[in-house]
Amino acid sequence: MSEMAPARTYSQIVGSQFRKNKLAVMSLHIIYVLLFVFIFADFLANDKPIVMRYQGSTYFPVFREYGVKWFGLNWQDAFKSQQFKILEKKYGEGDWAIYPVIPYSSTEYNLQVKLQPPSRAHIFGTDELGRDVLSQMIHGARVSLLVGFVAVAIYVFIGVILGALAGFYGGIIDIVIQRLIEIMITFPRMFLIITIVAVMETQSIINIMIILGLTGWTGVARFTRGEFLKVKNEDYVVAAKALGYRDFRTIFRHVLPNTLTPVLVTATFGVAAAILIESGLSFLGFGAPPEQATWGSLLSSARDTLPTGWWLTTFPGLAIFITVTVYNLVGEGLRDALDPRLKQ
Amino acid sequence: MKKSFLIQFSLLLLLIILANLGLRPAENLINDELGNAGGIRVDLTGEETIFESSPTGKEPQQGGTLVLAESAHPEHLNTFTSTSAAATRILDNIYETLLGYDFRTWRYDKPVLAESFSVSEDGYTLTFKIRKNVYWHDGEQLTAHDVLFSLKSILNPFVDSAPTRSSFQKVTSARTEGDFIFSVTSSETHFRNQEILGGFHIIPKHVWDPEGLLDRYSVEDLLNPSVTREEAAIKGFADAFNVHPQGRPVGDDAEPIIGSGPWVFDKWITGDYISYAKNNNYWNADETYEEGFSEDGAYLDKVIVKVISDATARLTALKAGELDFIPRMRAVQYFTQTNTPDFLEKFQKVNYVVPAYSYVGWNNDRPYFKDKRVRQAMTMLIDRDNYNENVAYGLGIPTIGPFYIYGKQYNHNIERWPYDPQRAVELIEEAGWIDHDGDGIRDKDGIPFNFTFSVSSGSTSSKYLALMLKEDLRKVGIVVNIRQLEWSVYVENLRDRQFDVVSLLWIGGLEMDPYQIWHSDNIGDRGSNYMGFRHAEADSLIEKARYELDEGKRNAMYFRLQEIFHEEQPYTFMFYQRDPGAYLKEFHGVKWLPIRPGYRLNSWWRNTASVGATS
Amino acid sequence: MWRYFLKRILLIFPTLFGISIITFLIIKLAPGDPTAIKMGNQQSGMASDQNLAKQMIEQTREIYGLDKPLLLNFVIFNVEDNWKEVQDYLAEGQGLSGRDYDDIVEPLKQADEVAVPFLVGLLDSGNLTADESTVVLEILTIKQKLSISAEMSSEKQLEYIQNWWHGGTDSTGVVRSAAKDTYQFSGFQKFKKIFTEAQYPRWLVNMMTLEFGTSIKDNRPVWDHIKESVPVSLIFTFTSFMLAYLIAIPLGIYSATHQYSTGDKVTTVILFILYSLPNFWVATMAIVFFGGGDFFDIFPVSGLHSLGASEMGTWDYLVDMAHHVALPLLIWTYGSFSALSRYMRGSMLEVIRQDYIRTARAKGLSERVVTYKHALRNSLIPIITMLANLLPLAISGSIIIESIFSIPGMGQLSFNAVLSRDYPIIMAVTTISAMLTLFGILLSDLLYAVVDPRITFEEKR
Repeated sequence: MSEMAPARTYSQIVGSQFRKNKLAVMSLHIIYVLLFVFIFADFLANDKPIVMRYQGSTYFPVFREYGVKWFGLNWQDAFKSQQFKILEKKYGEGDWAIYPVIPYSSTEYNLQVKLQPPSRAHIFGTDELGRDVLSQMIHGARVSLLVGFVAVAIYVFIGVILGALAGFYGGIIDIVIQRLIEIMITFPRMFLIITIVAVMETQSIINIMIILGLTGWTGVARFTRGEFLKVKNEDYVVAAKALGYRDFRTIFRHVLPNTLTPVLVTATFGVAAAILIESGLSFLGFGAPPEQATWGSLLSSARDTLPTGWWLTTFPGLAIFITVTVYNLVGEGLRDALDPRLKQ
Repeated sequence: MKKSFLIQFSLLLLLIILANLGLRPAENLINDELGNAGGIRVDLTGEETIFESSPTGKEPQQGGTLVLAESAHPEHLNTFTSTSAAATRILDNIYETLLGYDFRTWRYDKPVLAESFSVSEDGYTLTFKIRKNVYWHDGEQLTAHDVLFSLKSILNPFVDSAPTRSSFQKVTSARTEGDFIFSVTSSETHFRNQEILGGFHIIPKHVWDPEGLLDRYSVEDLLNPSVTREEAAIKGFADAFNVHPQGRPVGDDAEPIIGSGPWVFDKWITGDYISYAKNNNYWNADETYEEGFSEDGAYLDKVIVKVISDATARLTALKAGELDFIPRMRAVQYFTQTNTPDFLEKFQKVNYVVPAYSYVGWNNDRPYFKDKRVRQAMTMLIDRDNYNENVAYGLGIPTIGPFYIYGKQYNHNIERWPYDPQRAVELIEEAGWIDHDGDGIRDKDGIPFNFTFSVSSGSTSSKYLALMLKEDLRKVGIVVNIRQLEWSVYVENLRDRQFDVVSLLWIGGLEMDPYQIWHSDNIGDRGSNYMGFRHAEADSLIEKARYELDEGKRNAMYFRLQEIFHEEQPYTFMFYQRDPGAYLKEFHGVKWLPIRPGYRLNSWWRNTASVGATS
Repeated sequence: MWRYFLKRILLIFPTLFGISIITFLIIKLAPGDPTAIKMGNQQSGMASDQNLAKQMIEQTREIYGLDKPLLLNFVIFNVEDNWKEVQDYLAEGQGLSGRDYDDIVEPLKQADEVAVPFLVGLLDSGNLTADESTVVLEILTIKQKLSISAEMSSEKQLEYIQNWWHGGTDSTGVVRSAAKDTYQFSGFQKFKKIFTEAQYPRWLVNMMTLEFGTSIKDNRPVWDHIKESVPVSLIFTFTSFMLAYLIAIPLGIYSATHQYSTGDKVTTVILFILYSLPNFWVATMAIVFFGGGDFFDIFPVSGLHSLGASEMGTWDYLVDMAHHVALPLLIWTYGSFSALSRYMRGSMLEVIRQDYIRTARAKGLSERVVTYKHALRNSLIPIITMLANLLPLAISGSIIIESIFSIPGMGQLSFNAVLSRDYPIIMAVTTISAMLTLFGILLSDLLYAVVDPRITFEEKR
């Protein structure tokens, strides 16, 4: 493409095309917000102060928490029990603390305020253990988004490569990859997930992402392969071959962009689907570990409280619904923008 | 474009929120004096051991149907090879036993199929005289040969009845004398012998073994491995027995199960329902055993047990009039979703005790829980009352030990450990668990106090408990990891003792023998002492008590045993369970008993004067 | 092309073989044990205090052939080596229980009868440590079902073995014949045991004769279970697919031909919204709202039939069933509208921009003809790929919806089988679904070729 030296680069064209789609742009903004929540969850909802002044020194407990978790630091002696709210009673002259907007952690329970409808203290209400729903949702956003991204990244990568190879080369490569796809497809996916969840010493969301990634690629691979089969006899591919381009170049510079369309649609649906699958797994009891709030686990544990505890299902349900929808809309926008035939 | 999207989007949001707002019931909690959400709390302490929840002065009426729902169907209905409570609940109506509970004294000595029984002088042999007026549902007479055959089926090592068979391990011989005398000998004089040897279902020999394959072998033969190994017929019988159509009468045209009880089997439609109907030719029709407790068969014409696996769907079906009775619902449903005046007018809510208790088990062989002071501290760190009140909605009955709270074995003189985090921390420190390295986690001999709480993935209540404990223990410098496991893995880990902490229920009965769970012999491969509880005095008490036939002396030993349990805290004993249920108010004669499942449909009758909701 | 398909059909067999071995190994190596379900009630997390001592568990495992080696039985040739490993293990002073111990003793147990002469020989030799003879006695007792109880003293146990092996009069005065004569195996017998005394070959042989065995959980033939559940799931799968295709494809075409119109946008957003509502949530809401609880009584919420259904006439029966099926079916289906119509729209848009469509338009063909005759045919290709999913879906069912609505379909059957480690059912379901999937893929390739003449399956030159 560079030899032809177009006036604008490919990505510029894509960008401007994408910006024309207001719906997608708006969805992208929502995704930015979600990303913000994703990154700063600990600063948005936490039972520890962000900054505090205590007995003459200034502390940053939320930061310290990272230090404890990742860098082997220890809590200061005064904070060993990490009960900052109880500490408040000991505040002397000049002591103060600034808490995050939602001053509850996702695990902090208080049975005295269980199943409370939304109020000023708990904007989205509380669950059966009196935990703050909004705080759980903020921390759950992390998990849900991560599941979507990582799982799909893994499977699109595997799927596109294998599918492209199979579709382009055909022959023995195709046969082998096809068998691989078949074995993968016919595998009872749910069983695989359950098995791996059971085998792993520690239950963790990372396992679920990897499993979803490793088992999900077949669709993408078959799609890519199908598109390759379709495209490989088209004029421009035959031309590229006639020009003596190496296979690699032909695949990735010429054929792939033309086949990415359905794959991208699949991928965006895939991020959304992974979030939904995670919620389904939570429903079956095979999702994230219990102490890890996810939207799916919030939603499924709240089923029992219907019809009384409406806030318990409404907000996590909305969160899933909005996220999944904006991912799909951004995918749609991308699909249109990336379409190579719009380039001229 | 942006606008239209925004409008659609916000309209939808609004719609969903509105829809959900609508979900709030018009009436909030009705707080009656009992704090019991408009239901009846069955309390069987004191003299009253049977409780009737809808008394009328009227004569019971005959006829009518009862539709109830369970969460799962039994795997099959072969009484000796099935292990599920769901199967027992159905088969107890169809089959009968030699003896039964006397509902006045709660001893297992009421003659049912046996007219009378006697114990030999040495105490090893039980002899039963079988009634001569008992007929199977197909008209054949029930004899001692059926009884012997039933016992042989259990003892056949190739029959898939290992769990049932394990109770009969001490049987050495059994025989019949004439057609109506049956005697069985065991190698020990266990205090529960009557309950075990007189308490198995009697199945008809002419249906299960028409060719008499087992006739050639005595009980001694079946217990002798060199015989069972050589004789192909024994295995052949077992193979046929394990898959016998009587055990799975599925479909419209299946042969019904032949029993002798007050109910006859009607139909089993897989995944839909199991039904049984009144036995109009019940042998005991003339005899009434206790006033109002109809032993002369049933009043209702038919009982249909529907399977609805989802709790929400189950309650909805009850409200919609598709069901008459839900024996078990979720606590949150009982307390927050069944309080509308409509519901309370139509249905009677009841919560009743079942002989099963929940506990938190500490693996006594793990370094953290070796010291009894730590186990005591753990108990004092669990805010059991708060948990019971708020998470279990007050349905638990606090217990100090494993014995049935309504039984005679229970020691009421022991005071529960209080919730006392401060004292707990002192005890933990006394035991040497101090944060030596300053990382905020207690440790001892280089081992950080960091354990895993295993939770079975189906159990919400133990999940909540684990979450609470994790939060609370973090504050005192102990790390709890929660591990959710599927049931089959959970049980396997339990058996292999690969766990730190578990939370489970033990199902018991009116009387129990603690040997299986508490004797140090049963640590490891041989029994259910999964926590690894070892205590010399407890062992000797358990051994002595099981052969002590004098109830007073025996229970004195069990009282002492409970003091040891209390001191040692191998478990943190949590609660005996109440099951919350609800039934249509048209039903009367509803009686609640201290034995599983807590009710007997024999006494229920339907007042057809009021219009029924079901067909 | 036919040669290609013949080759593909032949390739199905090695794939199937591979799948079955992998599935077999995975499910067998997964933790959990079918005998575990006999220990209590999963729903309530209850365990009963029945004695499930090792011996009882072994007995149950033996009844279902789970005590045999997985793939091939070679342990019968390694009895002595395996014994050495046990000795080493014991020499390290580790306990006589627990998982490690079980693992190390397992091969000797699996060797079963073949190991007996060797083990008795060990006892006869008399130079075993106390632990070692305990282990040997345990293996013999469990596998040969000897009536030795742990309460017997070790001398008594040894005496028992002697009597049993060499014959003689035992303590109760019964004369027994010598057992040793029945434990002689020729080389050929041993060779045969490699295959007959192993789990996978047994399963494979049964499979070939379409004999799926009986469920461990309830002893019913697996085939009965499948026969019961498949029709239920088929009703849902096919109706749901038809519904989805009937609604989604026209929507997709509409969206593509009216790209960027308000109608397109509205359908897009609505479909995405439907897609993003988790089905178990919607199902619960639907039950609460429409099931006749505190709100509207429109649909029954469980099962497929009313109680009196078997006495109804055909018409009433069908109406009753439709009434039961409607709600779960809708929830089963709504999520797939979006994906299907998106695919349809995407591929239609792509085709419409192709040169030959422009040519067709330039030729003056009406928009209708261009859209429905030329464009539609080519844009159906991706949709065909999805059709291949139909076959395996018919037997997979939907775990979530079936369990919420108490529908006895394949989803519940296989999920419960997985939870209770009911190996015969799992193997049967995976094998059948593997066959159907493979067949479906083949079918979709075939359809590819029919729909798009440009696709060839010739070898690459």
